Amino acid sequence: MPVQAADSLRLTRLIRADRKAVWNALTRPDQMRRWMCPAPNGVKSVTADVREGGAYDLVMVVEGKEHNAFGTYREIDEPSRIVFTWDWRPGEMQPMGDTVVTIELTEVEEGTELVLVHEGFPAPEATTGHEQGWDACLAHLEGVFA
Amino acid sequence: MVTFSDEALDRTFAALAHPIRRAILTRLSRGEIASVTGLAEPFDVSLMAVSKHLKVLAEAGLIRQEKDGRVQRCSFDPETMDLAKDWLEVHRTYWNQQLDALQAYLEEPEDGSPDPLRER
Repeated sequence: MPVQAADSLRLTRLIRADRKAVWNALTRPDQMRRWMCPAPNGVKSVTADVREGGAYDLVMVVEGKEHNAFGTYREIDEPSRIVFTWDWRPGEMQPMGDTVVTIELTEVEEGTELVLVHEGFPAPEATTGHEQGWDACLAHLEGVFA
Repeated sequence: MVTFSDEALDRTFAALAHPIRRAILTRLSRGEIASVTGLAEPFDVSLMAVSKHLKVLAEAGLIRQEKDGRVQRCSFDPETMDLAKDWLEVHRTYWNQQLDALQAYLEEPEDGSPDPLRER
């Protein structure tokens, strides 16, 4: 379990579904396509080669603008742990370099506990210019209110 | 790590929760300094309505308003938006939405449960 540092975020959810169902939703492109975007039906494309060293590419459309995340899978420990890099292609979001996402699934009585840790973010000073950073965040925040 | 109060966050997000305000902010963030009339021009709302929007943005610390003679000049204030520029918070919001969507997908099946064997 990665240690949470000041440059990481950690979210926990209790999902009322069995762990295999959660794992499948996270790792099968035909399912990922159905939920992986803040806007409903907003996934334009998802390709995922879900194996260690495999690549994924996710294109989401938020208020008409494309957000393209991509990375590679580092660890796949079905059905309990998956680790992958996460970065954005240049566009509405700013590239960050390889940040790392770890998702761990634990069976609990009510279903599955999901813990997501995202770490390795660049320091704010690394952002190139207020205007670009702001535009990217604004586009993202537009998605929050969509 | 940037820290900020809940109130400041609330004000900022409330300020951003309107398309006219977001449009104004986008324009000003590109470095433009504009008058109220200039900012109001593209919108099909009254000058009074735009003034109110500008007040919300100013109170959230997102823009500065300075009197230049008889004209009110508005410009972008980048400091408050450092909050949203913080990668951590942008992605926290993003993942919260994603996990909401995952939860809804798994817990509230529409036309049948997410059966991987099901034909699309």
